Amino acid sequence: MRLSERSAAAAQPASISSEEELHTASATGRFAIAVDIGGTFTDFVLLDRQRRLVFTEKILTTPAAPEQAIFDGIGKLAARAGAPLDGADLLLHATTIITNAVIERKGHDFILLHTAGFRDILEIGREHRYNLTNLKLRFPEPLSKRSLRLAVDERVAAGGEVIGVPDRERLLGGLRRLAEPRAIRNFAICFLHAYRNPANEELVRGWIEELYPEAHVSCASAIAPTQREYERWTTCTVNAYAMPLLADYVTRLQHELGSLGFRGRTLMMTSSGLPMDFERCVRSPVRLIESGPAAGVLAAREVAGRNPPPGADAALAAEARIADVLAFDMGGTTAKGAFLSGGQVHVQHALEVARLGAFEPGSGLPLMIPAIDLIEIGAGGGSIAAVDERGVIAVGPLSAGAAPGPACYDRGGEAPTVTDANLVLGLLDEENFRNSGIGARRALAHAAVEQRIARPLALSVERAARGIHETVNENVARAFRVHAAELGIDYRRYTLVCTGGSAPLHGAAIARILSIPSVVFPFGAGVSSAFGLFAGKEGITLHHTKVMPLHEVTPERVRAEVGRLVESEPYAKDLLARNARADLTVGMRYAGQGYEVAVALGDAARCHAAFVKESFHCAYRNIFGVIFPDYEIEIFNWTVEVATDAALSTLTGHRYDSLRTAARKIKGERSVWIGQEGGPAKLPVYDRYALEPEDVIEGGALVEENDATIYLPAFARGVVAQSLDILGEIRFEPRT
Amino acid sequence: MNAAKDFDAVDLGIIWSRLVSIADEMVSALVRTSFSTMVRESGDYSCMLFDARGQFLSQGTASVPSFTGTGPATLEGVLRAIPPDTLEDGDVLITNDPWIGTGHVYDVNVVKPIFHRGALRGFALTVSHVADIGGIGYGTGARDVYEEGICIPPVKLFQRGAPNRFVFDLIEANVRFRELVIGDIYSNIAACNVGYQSFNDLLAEYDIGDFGPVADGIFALARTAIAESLRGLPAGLFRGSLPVEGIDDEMVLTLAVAVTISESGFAFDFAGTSPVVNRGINVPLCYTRAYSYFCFKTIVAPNMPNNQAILDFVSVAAPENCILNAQRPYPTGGRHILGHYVAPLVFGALASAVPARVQADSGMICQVNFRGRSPMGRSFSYILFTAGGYGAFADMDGRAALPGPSNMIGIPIEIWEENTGVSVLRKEILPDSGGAGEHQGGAGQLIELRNDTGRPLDATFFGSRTSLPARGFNGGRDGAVRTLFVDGKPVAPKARLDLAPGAVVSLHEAGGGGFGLPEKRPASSIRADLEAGLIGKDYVRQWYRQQSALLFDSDRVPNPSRQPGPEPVKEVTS
Repeated sequence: MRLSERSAAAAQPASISSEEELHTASATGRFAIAVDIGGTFTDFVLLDRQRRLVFTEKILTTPAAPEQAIFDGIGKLAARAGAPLDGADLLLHATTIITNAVIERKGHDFILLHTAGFRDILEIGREHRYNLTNLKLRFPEPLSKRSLRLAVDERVAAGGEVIGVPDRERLLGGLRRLAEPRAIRNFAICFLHAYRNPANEELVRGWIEELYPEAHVSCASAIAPTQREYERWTTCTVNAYAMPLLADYVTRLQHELGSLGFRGRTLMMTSSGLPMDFERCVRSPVRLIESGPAAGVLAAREVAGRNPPPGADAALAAEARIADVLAFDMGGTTAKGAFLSGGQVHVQHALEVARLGAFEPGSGLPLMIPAIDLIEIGAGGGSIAAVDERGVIAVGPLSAGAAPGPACYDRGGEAPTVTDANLVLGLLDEENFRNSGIGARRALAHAAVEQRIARPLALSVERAARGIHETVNENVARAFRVHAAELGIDYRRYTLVCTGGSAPLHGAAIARILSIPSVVFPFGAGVSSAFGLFAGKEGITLHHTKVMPLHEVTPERVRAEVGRLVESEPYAKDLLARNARADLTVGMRYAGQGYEVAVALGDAARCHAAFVKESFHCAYRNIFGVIFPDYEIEIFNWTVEVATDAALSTLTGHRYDSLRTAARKIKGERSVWIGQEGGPAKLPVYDRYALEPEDVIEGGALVEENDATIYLPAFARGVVAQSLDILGEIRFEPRT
Repeated sequence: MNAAKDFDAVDLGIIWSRLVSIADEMVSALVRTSFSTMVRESGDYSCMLFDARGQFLSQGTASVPSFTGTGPATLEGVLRAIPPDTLEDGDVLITNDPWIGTGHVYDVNVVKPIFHRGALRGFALTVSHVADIGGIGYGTGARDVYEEGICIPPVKLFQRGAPNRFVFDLIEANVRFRELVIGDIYSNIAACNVGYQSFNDLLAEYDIGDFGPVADGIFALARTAIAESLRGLPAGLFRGSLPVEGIDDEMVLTLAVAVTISESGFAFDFAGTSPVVNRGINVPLCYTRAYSYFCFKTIVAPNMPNNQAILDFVSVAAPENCILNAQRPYPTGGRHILGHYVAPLVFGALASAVPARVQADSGMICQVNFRGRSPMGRSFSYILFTAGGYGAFADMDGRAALPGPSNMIGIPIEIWEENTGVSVLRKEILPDSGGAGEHQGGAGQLIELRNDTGRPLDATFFGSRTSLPARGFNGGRDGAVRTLFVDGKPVAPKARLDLAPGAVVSLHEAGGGGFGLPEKRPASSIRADLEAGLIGKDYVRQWYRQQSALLFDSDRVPNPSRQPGPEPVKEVTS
């Protein structure tokens, strides 16, 4: 998206080149709508292609019936934009419905069919304590009820040969006994080694579908065709648990949309950043588990793609764009991060959801689905600060949530939160909360920080609040740094892109901790995930495990392997018939290692052994700094991303409807207690909607827009780009 | 340049977190690059950071208890052989000496001095269990340490960035699976490099030269916090002793401890412990010390990141050549078999003093080391770790199949079978194996394996709790003992034998001990365990006699004054 300079755009829309027109998929109707349902707010973006206008809206989420907020919001937006729903050709959707079902345990019971002798795989797990010295640990309860498990006499060997075929009558007899009393029609089939050969799982699926044609059936081999039974089976249980829920939701949504005259396509964002057709999503609900965050990462990619890289000479590198991005999103309860290298998101195949307690790895449910590699930290505006057993400030992962919320909300919360600290420091103002209908009181924040932090540590309230602010920054930076080490990424040359309501307040300071010199504060950060939905390319990620030693690799064999994956998925075949591309990435390792390095191979045609070897060594050296030229190499798993060439919709040439031409750029000033010894400093407060390209904002300063406040400390300055995003530059001097 | 006095508690807290974060980054690099399944599937490693004085700054969050606070002594031992003034930027030091490192030759310790702006400012240290180290192989069978493999004294593996070829050649010439072993050594180096770089970044960001004063500031915070926690504990001398299984059925050894709790910390004295034996289950003091640190941490500061100040609250004494302070050349290959018992020994001694903070005995882990050739022809040596039941607490049931006190990670069945050709026929929770109590001990497991490699297989067992069960605490009952079978016949707990093709190994993993009197267990909890299949009706009748009247109609004693109890559960059918 490239937003033209306001004055010109107001007079006439910037022209879109024909090339860009071509890159817009399915742009036939006048309107396109994106909806992102979050924990607190549901965000909307409406695109009026005819007038080239972008409208945004934000309303409270309706957790009991999420579609209610959708239709309320669309109604409001349609009225503002004069956009009847029958003029829309596209509805994009990101949702937390699956995540919430798992966290709040609101899914549906199902019968788990498992290989006989392995009933307790879900309870036994990895046989590991996730915290070394805190012995009293809680673990997540499996989603499968123990009373609803059926042992199946069957066996596939490690190599994939079927060595035991299940008996149809015995199986169905046992199944009926379990299913009938409560009329359960939801099933998960989890057999050992089925990722190598799904024959037995498919056989049983067929029998069940014959017996109960209306049944929901999840096969672990189809949901997560990857080695490691505990993780694969757990993934399958999440899928089964959520499937009836999603099926109902989609039916209701489609019905209501139809009755409002909507005739366009409907897609949901999946965790890997590829939106899929509603119907296809219903079969793989577990793939939606990081739907919203994935859209947020795409938004960051989009933001990067419309801004020049730091230090670029405008005249010489007019077309250069930011390519290496650390996407940073911070909301009410958590912060998330993702690295994008060369404009590409990292998609991985293992994540963990519904972690207990302190967000400790190992305390949640492990999933093996393609997902954008996200770092999640219990650090948001609602994160609670306390003095921990070390006698220093600790922030999070406990959150005051929306209820009772931060102390300043005056809804019964007594613990100081990050938001309270920011209010005490003057980074936020009581006025900032009024838009969202919250009456925040600084005096309450002050009292909470004083009581719980300042007094116990014998500090001033302002120093304590600054400590909270700094501690949460360090927590976020720490998580990013440790994850970068896993990926072998030198994050210092990445650009930090701040999306979400709280990120712009903390972004500059976190960038400095990470030695990252440039930060982008996008326009409309508060609804960026909804923007990100438009940036998605329709598609699906296919994945399976198959060991192929390097010496067996030929372009023909690789093509055959890709073909096999595509054949297994009608949706992928359909996409390929509609101009999609198939991109291959393989997980490779030295024989004997247990972790794979992702190697992007692209087109199968060039996959000669020498090329594959060189690509692997290059990737391995990047991460680990060494290679072992003589060691045996193997491909372990295969990922094919089938996706359309172009994003679902483009914002190129559109302009925001919220700009104010005549407003004053500096709307006031505020006392801020940060970065100073002694007293507060008076910082200017800028009106985001009045800023124009090439405006320069010297730190310290605050920039306010509806749902977000940007804090530029003294060590930063901001330049307003042509896109209206603010490009922040960080100066590095040692701390004083 | 800053002196420590410029950093207040808030700054120090943040820098402290950073030090832990650096150690965690090292762990990431180590795990990702390792070849050994001991590292990547079983978590047998640790990463640590030190200042230039050798004071211990931080330890990676993920580790096993065996490595709790071992680093300071390791670093001291290495620097005794290679004095700091002989170190240059780019050096990498290595040793696997059991008495300098972590108690047996399979753990390789790698140290990288950290230079910043030309001066020595700290050390990164990593330790990991490698795939092989030569000798007779992993086991308890050795008669002295020399039989257990090559011992690398502290030596420069790299000098100013250049590899010392002789050391590499020497190692390669003495180990099986040399690619894996050398790969794992490089993986330790990669982790140390991450620590080197990140510590440099920290010093630059805060413009710190000598980190010592900053470390002292952090240590002062830790000392204050520990002192505060200690004030909540009863001072005094607490004794305990524990019989443990030796290497065969007849041998029973005694571990004894006297723990003195005072404001200056915990003093452990292991006087009264049995003497060393001529098999590889002897424990060097470094390992005994690690478990003493571990117990102190779990009781006093379970959530505080480990550092020197915390270790300084602990002192450890043990008579020379008692089995918890074995001297060279006694063999130590299976030092963990007895060493793990330091935790239940100490918890037992303190059960009356701090009941809310100790854990009843766990079923502990069982190890079986299989060596042979997979059906694909690749020779392998893999250890199967399986966990018994977890001991209960004063306020919490023990979980089924969870290791304690050691903390290995179970290998997925699918990876195990693929790599070994040893099929897993069954792996389920073993009902009725946890000890009864107000809080019930965790159940063990029932595991069956078959040699499907088509060739004979060399199997070494490291089984414990085969005659001495996991004890219940404060009235809780003992867990079931572990039993090992080959083709249905019991085998010695520490046997090494050849498994014929088709032979079936069965492991009945031990249950954990209960906590508190069984009579106090609520009927609803018993009912839930019944429904989950963790216990059966007979178990309930035997151990929860009072409650069984409430649970089963047939057991109900006529009592007209009594209100009707909860609905009886239906028989669990399978």
